[in-house]
Amino acid sequence: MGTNIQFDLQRLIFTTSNSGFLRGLICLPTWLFFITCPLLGHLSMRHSKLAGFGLLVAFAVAVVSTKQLHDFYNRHYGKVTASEGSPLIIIGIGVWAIAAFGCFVIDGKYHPQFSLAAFWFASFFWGIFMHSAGHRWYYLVASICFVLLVPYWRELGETWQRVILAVAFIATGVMDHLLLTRLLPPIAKDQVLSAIP
Amino acid sequence: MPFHSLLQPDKLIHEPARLAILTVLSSCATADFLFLQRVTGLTKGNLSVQLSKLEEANLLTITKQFVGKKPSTTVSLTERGCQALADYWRTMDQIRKHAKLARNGK
Repeated sequence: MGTNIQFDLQRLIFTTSNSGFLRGLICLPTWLFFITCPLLGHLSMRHSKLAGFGLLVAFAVAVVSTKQLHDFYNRHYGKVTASEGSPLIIIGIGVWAIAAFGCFVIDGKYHPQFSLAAFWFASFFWGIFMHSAGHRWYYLVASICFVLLVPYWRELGETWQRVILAVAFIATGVMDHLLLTRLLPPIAKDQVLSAIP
Repeated sequence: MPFHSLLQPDKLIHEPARLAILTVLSSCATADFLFLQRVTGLTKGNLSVQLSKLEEANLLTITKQFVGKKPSTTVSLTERGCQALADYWRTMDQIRKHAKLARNGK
């Protein structure tokens, strides 16, 4: 048996069914743009034309780099088309999305002492951790961080909320990418053709 | 358990490289050649040979096309492939159960 052949079936199933989610760098430009927006918002108070132009450039860079990253993953890691999701998962995602909407509305209207939005983000990260059967442990760390932020979320203000969200998504995205590189190691060029029965 | 029952698992699927390929394809709708190569760690030559064998047995379909100027090979499991893999695991489960019973002296 060739030593390079990896037959851990659980790893194969996890890698295949999650390969789309593990392309973590793809979300990077979007979140960087998400941080850039409030910074340009501050700038627009003094130089509105410059800020508008900056926003346009940042948006263009985000779109182009997302496409480039998408191509990078296809070129280096191959393409997988996911199987159709089970109806139960689709319903679950729908309920979660409605819950998100509810949390943001309640937060905005009634300003409760403990932020429901932060709690929703904590549950979002926790859900991803549970779905990955513990492989993506860093989502649990992100979830705990957001639980700790629940009482302070409102006091942070919109700019810091955006920055924290973006940092959380960028960090988990980078960790996803690193997990993908571990699950799909590079192919050795001097691989010996394994015995073919 | 009779000895011939141990020989029942489909030998075409029982081979580790082919089992790995079928397992990967059972977890997605389609996968391209590069992904299969990276995830299984098989060489290009070995992967090609194993895919051809599985295609000959009608367990998977291979679609070759050009994306721009680059060739792209996409592989997917057939209905028969899904069934064969499910049957394989059923047989393996039965063997495991019988072995457990035999070990316990029942």
